[in-house]
Amino acid sequence: MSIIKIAVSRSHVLAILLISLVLIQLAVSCKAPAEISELDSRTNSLNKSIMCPVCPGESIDQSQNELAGHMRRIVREQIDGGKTDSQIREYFVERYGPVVLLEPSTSGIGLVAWIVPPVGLLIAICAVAIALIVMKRRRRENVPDDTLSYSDRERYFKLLEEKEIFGDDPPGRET
Amino acid sequence: MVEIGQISIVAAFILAVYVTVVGFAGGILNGRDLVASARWGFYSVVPLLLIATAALIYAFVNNDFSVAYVAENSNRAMPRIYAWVAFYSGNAGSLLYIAVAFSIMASICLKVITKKLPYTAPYALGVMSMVLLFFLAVILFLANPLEKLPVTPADGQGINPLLIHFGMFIHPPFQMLGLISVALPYSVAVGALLAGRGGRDEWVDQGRLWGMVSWLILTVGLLLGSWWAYTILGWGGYWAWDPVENSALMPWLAMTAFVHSIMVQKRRGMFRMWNMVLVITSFTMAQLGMFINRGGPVPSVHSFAESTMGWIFLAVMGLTLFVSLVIFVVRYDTLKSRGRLESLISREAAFLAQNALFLLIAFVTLWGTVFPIFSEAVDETTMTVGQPFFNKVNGPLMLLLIFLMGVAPLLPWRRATVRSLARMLMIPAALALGIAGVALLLGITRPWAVASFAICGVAVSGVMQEWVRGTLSRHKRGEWWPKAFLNLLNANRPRYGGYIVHLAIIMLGVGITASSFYSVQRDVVMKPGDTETLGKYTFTYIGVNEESFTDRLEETAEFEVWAGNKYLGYMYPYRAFYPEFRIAATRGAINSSPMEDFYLVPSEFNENGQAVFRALINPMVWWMWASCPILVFGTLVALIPRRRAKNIQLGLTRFTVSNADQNRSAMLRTKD
Amino acid sequence: MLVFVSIIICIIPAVVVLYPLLSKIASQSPFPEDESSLNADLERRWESALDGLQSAELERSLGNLDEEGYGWLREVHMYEAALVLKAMDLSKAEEISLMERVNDEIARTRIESGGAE
Repeated sequence: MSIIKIAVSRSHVLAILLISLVLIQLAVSCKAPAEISELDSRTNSLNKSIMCPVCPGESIDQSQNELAGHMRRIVREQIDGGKTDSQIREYFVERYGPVVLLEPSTSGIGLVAWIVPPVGLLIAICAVAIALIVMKRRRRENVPDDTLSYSDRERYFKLLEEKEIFGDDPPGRET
Repeated sequence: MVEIGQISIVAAFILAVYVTVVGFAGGILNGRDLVASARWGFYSVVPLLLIATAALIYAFVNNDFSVAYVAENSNRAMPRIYAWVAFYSGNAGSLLYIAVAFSIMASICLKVITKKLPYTAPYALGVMSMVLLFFLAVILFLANPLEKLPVTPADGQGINPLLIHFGMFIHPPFQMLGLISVALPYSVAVGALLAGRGGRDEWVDQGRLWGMVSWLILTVGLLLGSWWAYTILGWGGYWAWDPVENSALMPWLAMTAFVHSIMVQKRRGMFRMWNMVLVITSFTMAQLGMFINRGGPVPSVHSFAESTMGWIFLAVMGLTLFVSLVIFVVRYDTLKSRGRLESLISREAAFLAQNALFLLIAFVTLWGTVFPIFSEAVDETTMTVGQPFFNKVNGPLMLLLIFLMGVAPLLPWRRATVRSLARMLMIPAALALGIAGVALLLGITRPWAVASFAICGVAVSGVMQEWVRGTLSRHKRGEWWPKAFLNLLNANRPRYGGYIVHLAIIMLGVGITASSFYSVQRDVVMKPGDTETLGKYTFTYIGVNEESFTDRLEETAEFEVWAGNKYLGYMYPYRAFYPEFRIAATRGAINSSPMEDFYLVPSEFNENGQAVFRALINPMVWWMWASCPILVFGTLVALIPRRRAKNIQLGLTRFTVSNADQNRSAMLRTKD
Repeated sequence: MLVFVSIIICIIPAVVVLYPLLSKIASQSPFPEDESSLNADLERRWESALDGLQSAELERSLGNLDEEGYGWLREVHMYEAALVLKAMDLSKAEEISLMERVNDEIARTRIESGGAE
């Protein structure tokens, strides 16, 4: 198969080199900070998923509010006390309602929130496919464009060919 | 002075009414004098609004608290230069800002399209002046920034302390300018529809120009906002998927789609209907953005205080959408495509897919933003939709977009054979696998991060491939490397300018990926003399310096910082507490390098000398901010018009038209 | 003072707006070229044909386009250019001369891009 005969030209090598450089930098900077404790890491991600009830739309991790600080302490206490992530979330939901979680639940009405995006993607793919197929089928709208009669067209191409524009072999006509 | 400003606003309003009526009349009746009069009327609105703006700023600078807006948004303690910020920090003032900024931009646009699209311009003028008229009406009848109070208070309430940062000099003006600038391509497009001149791509060049200008302003506004949030708000992040942020993102997404698909129309005469729908959608989203901004139904950190204003914007948005679609349907027949889609494997098809993806992301963003209202209405439980949702849902979609961005430029226009497609995709695919492999070997194991880096690598390779090959080709001819590269750039400005922008976007993507997945943070309790570490950074808390001002208490902490063995110097994170507003504004101290940012921010200072600090390491955030100037440069390169060699120009439109020319046989006309 | 300034603020725009109506300079100047005219349309088509030709050259030199694709694209764009010329009622000599110049220009692009790899 001729696909396999890809000439690895100089430009390819250069491109790969450049990308490797970028990647190495990425790797080094991402590898380094692996050093916070498991507990800290859990605390942070929990904090980011719970909303501060009195601040509009901010997580307790983000917010400077006193209540947020208080809630962060509670989270930490509970983690130290051995509670699981979902237990801690439940704790807050009991007190403030499901609105305190920063993402909709995966049951009940919240599920609708999660379903719509993938359904949207499916619809988008279908819409694009249909649009492309319809566009491909449609004949040229401007019939007047083809008013160059057959003889005119031949005359023009002969003109152009005479001037050695196409080179040796005129390529096949569009079907 | 205030009264002069008020009169100016009234005069501007009357003028705008005149311009709208006469502009449209001139277009319909083909009265060139009417159109000229309307045009000059539009230009005249600019100095009037400048006078009103000057009056307001003058009132701020002179602490004229008899003006209600000044009393609400400043006080004697405010530094004078922040009068500029105070001007647009409140609802009424921001409306005046939008009106004056729009009138200036639209005047420039008008000047250009009068020359290039002389018969479309009157209608575009009418549309633009209706947009302006709306704002002036709201200002005059609902939210006049120059309104006086019956009793003059001794001091004002003061400006929101979070706004005291030099970033606030540029971010909100840019952002608001970006939103309203979408009205420019909209006016050109709808003006063309109204004029019955949308069917032969007359408006495409100008549509592309103003679309790109608008896109540029929107992009810079978004980047500035992220940068400001990161450096000033002290939570170490830059994007929270807040409703107001989302409302600025949606028109940006639609505009990005538009500036791409308009290229297809320019090249092939295709997507005529689609581009109209797209530009109408973009403007609708911009209006939606303004609605959400002005106390819409979803709570946000950014909202202006008043909430009744929002519904007017929503109503006008609905009306605009309705009317635009009616006009579209009426002129539908003129918008049949000239070209035909020749192959499913072509750049045209890729652009369509890209458009669909952008709009999908916009829709999902909108869905997430309004879902709380939806859940409330349907189920009576309010659910919050925050960062985790958007990251999980939009992240993969945006990754798909970047993949498309890398692959689409490799596709030729019109048609590619399956064989050439396979050949073209082999290299990016191999590269993606290679990068993924290397990433895994080096310890980057989180699947989405790996996928993201791999796809960014694919996109970079696509651009680099074109650059390197193109430069090499020219180099073979004997040109010196840098010269070959610059000539390549210059000979194909729209294309290579676009590539520069793509590179900037990839930089942005890489920065976002790295900082989203590999950020580390830790809260620590320290007393003076304590030393803590995070990653390779060691920081010693030296002490805190308290300073009391009339409106706030500032506590500045002093740290000495090392990165491994390298001494980095002092860092001064601080926290200012404003008792009147009950807000604490923290400012992080950032040590930034292209690899990562080390970020220190105070959480609280306790009486016993202990303080709580948050330390963060954010990898590769520098790349995000570095992408901005590159993006601007790329856009400007792409915008410079092409000069065709004189000897192959047709030169048909250089001369004014005589009757004989007008009677020429209409060989290429479509059926009207 | 206030009254004086307000009068100025109202008068000047009024004058600016009335002047074109009264002096009628706009309607007396020559008609600008209609953007929907045949000429303007031909120009646009011509530009897009030339763009297509140049971009085909570029893509071929970059290796994105193989010979078959390149040839096909070239023919398509040449055809479009030919249509434009046909609609212009040029004399035979003028047509040939213009097409020759186009070809020279395209050939120049090809050479500058370094030709096929």
